[in-house]
Amino acid sequence: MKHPYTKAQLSSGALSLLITGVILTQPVLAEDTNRILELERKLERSLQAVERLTQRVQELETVDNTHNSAASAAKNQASDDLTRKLAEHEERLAGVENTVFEIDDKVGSRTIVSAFDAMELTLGGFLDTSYTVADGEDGTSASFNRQWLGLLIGVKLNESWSAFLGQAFVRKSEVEYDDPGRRRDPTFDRQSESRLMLAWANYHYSDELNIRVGRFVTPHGIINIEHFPAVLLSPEQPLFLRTPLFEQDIIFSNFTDGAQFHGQTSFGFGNTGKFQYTAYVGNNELSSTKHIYGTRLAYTFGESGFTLGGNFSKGERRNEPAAPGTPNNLGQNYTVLGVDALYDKGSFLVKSEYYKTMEDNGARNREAYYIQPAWRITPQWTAFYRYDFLDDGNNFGDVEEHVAGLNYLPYTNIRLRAFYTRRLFESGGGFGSADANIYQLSGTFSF
Amino acid sequence: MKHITHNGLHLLLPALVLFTFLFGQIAEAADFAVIVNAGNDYQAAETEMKTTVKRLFLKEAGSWPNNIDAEPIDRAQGSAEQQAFMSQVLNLDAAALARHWMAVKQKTGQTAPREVSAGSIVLKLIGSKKGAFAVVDTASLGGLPGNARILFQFSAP
Repeated sequence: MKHPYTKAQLSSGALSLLITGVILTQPVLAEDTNRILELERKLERSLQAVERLTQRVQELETVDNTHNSAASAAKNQASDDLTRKLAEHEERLAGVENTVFEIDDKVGSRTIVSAFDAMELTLGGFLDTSYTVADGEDGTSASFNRQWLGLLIGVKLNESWSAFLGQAFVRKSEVEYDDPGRRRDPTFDRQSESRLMLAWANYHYSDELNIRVGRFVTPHGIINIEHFPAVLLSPEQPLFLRTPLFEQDIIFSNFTDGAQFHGQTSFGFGNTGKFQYTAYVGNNELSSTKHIYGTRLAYTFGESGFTLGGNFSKGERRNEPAAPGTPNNLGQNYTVLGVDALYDKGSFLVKSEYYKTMEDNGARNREAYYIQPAWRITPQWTAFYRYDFLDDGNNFGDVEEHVAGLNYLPYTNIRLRAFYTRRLFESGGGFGSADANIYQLSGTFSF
Repeated sequence: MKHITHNGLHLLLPALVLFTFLFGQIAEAADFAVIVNAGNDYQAAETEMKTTVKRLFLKEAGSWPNNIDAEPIDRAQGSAEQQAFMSQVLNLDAAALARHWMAVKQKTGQTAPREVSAGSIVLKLIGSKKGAFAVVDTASLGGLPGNARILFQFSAP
């Protein structure tokens, strides 16, 4: 099909159309510009609004965070408190459980022993046993020579009053000598006895003043006050205290039935020095009518470990005939003066006592002393030596002993010992001097 | 210069070792306190207070110098508090302490103070008994209640 218009016609037509279009679209462009401007303003306002909202959101977020932080801190604090309280309660619960277990272990399903009328009642004691070999000039003898059960009962009656009881059940034999001079032929002569060792009541008015009545260890020196084997390096006490079954008073009576005042106060060495006193009156071991009285004063030099004591007593010896070979002390009055020194610090322990008696009725005065140094090698092992001297006033000569031994404590309440004693008898009474070697193994088990 | 540096190292190394040792010692030291009931007004020089506390704890004495009956409280055996108290206040080792209680038992029938492991119970006992005292770890004290006060403090390695 052939076109009906020429190129010129077409060109002029297109130009016309363009011009017409331009003319017709002029109002539309102006309107768009306005709208764009309007839109831009709206956009600007929107952006400002968005910015304000953003700021507001940020502000709100900040406030929220602050709130959250405070809340979180409070929450953490509460949590910490709770954790701490929980830990405390767990600790307390553990403590209560331990106590319950301990009580259960001790009591089990058995009935608990309770005191009739006392705030506290404690029961303890010790078993002491030994095997001894004695080798003398004329013979040797050996024996399981000591079985000693001691029962100790402590009672607290109230805040001021207390009582302490000690009962001994003893099968015991000292080393004795069969020969007339009592020095050459050692043997053992067993005796059994049940004896009240201690029975006193104590009134505590203050540390400076206590009153004790009943039967008590005579408060002289160091070892007599310690007395029981659980704490002694050698269960064989020094010669002047070594009496058969508690029944003699070589220098002073080991036990006294009576009353005593005792107390202590601090002064000197920055008020760390300690002064102690005891004053007593009573009957001696075997006489219920003869009175004795005495005192002990001691001072501990601060924290130095050194204590110095002085002792005095006066009384009348028992008024019955003494056993053969022992001091004849028929009713004689006597006065005892003594000093004692103790050093106990760290690894070293030294005890020493000296006594001198003045006897009347023409009897010989008596003298006794010892020094006992010890070295605590380890907490379990202690080595000791003791030089011991006794002039007991008889005519058979003085006695000396050199004792060297070891203590081993596998547990704090078990004390095992081995020691050697060389006993020297001085000539006297028509008898010559003699030596004896004594070996002993012993054990003390405390509970 | 090289010679000086060499000498400097010789001096520096022992100094560092010494510093480390000393710092280590300081860093390992812990603080403890003996606390008493707030109603117990006893106060003295530190040495005297330590001796008093020692004698009361060991039951060599029964009353504070102001005549308040003492009630010692022990801490759990082997605890840091008990170890520190034993070495710094009692000046005894475990064996010596055991020997002491054995002797006390046989002389007077008394027993060692009651052991309390929980710090909170210690505080309650101290607060309720006028003569009570015990050692505590100051770090674990938190706030000491109003019915208790520190008698003295001490450090232990």
